[in-house]
Amino acid sequence: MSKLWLVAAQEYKRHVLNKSFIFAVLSVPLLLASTLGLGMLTERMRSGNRPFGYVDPSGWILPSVFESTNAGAQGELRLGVAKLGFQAFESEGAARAALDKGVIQAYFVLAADFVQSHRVDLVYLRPPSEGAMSQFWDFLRLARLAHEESSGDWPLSRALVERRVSEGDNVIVRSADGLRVYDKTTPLSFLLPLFIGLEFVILFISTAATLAQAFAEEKENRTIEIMATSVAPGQIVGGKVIAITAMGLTELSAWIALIAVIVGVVSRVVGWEWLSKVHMHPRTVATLILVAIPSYVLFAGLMVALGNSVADAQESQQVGGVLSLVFMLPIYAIQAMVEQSSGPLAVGLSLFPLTSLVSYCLLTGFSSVPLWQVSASVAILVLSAAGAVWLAAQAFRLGMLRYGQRVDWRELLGVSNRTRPSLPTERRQP
Amino acid sequence: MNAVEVNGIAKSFGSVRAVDDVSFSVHGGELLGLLGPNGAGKTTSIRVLLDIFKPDQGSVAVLGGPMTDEKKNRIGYMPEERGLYQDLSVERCLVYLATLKGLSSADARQRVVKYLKQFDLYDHKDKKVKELSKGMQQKAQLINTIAHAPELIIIDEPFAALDPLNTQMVKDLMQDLSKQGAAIILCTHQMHHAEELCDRIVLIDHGRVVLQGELDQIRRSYAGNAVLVRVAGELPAVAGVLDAQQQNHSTRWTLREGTSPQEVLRSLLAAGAVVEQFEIALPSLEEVFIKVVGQSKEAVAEGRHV
Repeated sequence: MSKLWLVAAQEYKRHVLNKSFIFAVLSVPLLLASTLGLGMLTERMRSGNRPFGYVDPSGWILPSVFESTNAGAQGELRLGVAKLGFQAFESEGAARAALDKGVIQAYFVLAADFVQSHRVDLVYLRPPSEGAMSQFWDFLRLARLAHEESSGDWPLSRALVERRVSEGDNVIVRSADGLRVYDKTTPLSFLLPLFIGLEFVILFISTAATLAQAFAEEKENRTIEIMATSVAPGQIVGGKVIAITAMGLTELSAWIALIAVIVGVVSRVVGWEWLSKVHMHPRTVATLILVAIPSYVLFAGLMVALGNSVADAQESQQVGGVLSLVFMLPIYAIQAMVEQSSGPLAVGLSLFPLTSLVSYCLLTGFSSVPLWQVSASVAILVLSAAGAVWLAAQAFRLGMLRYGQRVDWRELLGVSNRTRPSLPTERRQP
Repeated sequence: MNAVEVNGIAKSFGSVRAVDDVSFSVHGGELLGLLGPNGAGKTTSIRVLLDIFKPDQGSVAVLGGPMTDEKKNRIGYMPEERGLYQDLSVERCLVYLATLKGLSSADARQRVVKYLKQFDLYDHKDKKVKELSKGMQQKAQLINTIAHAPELIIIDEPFAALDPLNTQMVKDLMQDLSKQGAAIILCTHQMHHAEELCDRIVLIDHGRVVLQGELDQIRRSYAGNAVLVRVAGELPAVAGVLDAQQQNHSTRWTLREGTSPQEVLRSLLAAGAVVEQFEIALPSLEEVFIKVVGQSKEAVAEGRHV
């Protein structure tokens, strides 16, 4: 095995086979699972799982509606987490007794002249949630449909109309270039690039910080001189970058797999089917990949340069944190970016190499980015990435034997007279 | 063929001339002492030799030519700034570093285990490097230097942090490796170790070679007109002796200019003394070092080179 791959394999094992990596891998899916779980729990606590009761002295609600909603078949109500049942009572007294016993969470009383007055009284001990209320209104709408159908004047199929009534309207909005689609049934699709942007932020920060630390630790452990006399500098830098990139991809793959499992489970068990319909246009995916690859190289290069120019691993984390803040700048300006997606701020941040990736994650979700802008950003990023790699090599060469010392940025750029390392291990006597 | 040929190398850092016109060589089976005070230019010379720094002028030939990646596998280097991966187990760390020297994993493991046993570190092989004592880390570092059976070994201050027992063990090891044909460069400022181990020395000060040659010849050339004498009973008075000083179990006689040791010996025998010891008093390497470095300092202060 070549030394490049030996270094890469060793670095990969060193960083992946430890507790902090396993924690990092589990953290994002766990965060998502706990967020979804909390949402489900909150909804369940708010709406409860006990049925609603109703008393209908007007006889307006036909038995067919009651049967279909409670059977959970064609007319199943799809709103909210809980699919509540509806229980008919002969009298208010019977409904009240059921409420007091906790069999039902509330009951409605339709006025005897409901057809004329449309009056409904709601009786409860604790107010039902909005979700539960909205299910009752859907129930009434279905009841109304049933009346229309029974009147014989019914041009559409019952299934189609029931679906519209139970699910509400579904207006699909497409951008002119067809890249973005807003569909009420998949509301998260337009937010997906934003979520991906956040994933990138977490991934870049965690892996790039590890990269900077890997080089700073090498100096701190004093192993760099042994490495430099065993392996070519290019193989050391290359091996470490490959290892940390592989570590990042492992982390990302694990996240995707775990999130897919969570989404699959939630959409099936809880009935949030829209979760499994979330999608992104292939051109948007391609744009993000084109921007992400040079962005990662740029970030990695800067972190390698940083790791070799600072005095110790702690300092690398501090300076790396500042770099990560710049990387996330578009997120702080999210409102301006979304509202004026072709404004100077949005265009400027999309062209500035350090903020390109997150800018595109925001912009592709909310607007159509012109081809020239994408091309210009990718070109700038590729050039910047090449510059960062050069800077990394320069920093490695200058900084590898400076134990506990910083490399001046003017030296890195070659504008200082002091173009060679000092001699920390050979201090001259005054 | 010499294992190392350094010819007139010079290296500056900014305005500081760290190494200036340094030349030396070492051949297989030889133990060369690269000596000098702190900051003299020893480590810079070694780093130039190992191709970590490019020389401003001069040339270096290692194992028959310029340094290559393949040749790095045939060199063992223990830098003054010690370093191993602190969070790895001792065995894993050493096996990894040995594979970077071109050994297969199995071969590396076999050799590392052998040396761990030899250095009494086998029971600590699963400990993290940072859990070892300083002396143990030093021994682990030595294993890293020699595990791949290098033809050229460069060791910077190998005895720092070692107790007398381990110091002797390392000395024996270096002599064994030298007998097996390895060329060894020992950088140190501890003269008694160099005196005990080295065949030849190169003394560097202020970036320049101020003395080099066979150790015995150097000591002879710096010997003053003095002899070490021990006789049974009282030492008789002898003509031509300027000064007498007790030195261990002998007496050191400093001779008057023009008086030869042979004349003194004849006078002693003529005086009926039973001579138990009579030898030319050679200076220790430390004394030579102090003298040469002192002269070098004076020369630098006066603005002339030695």
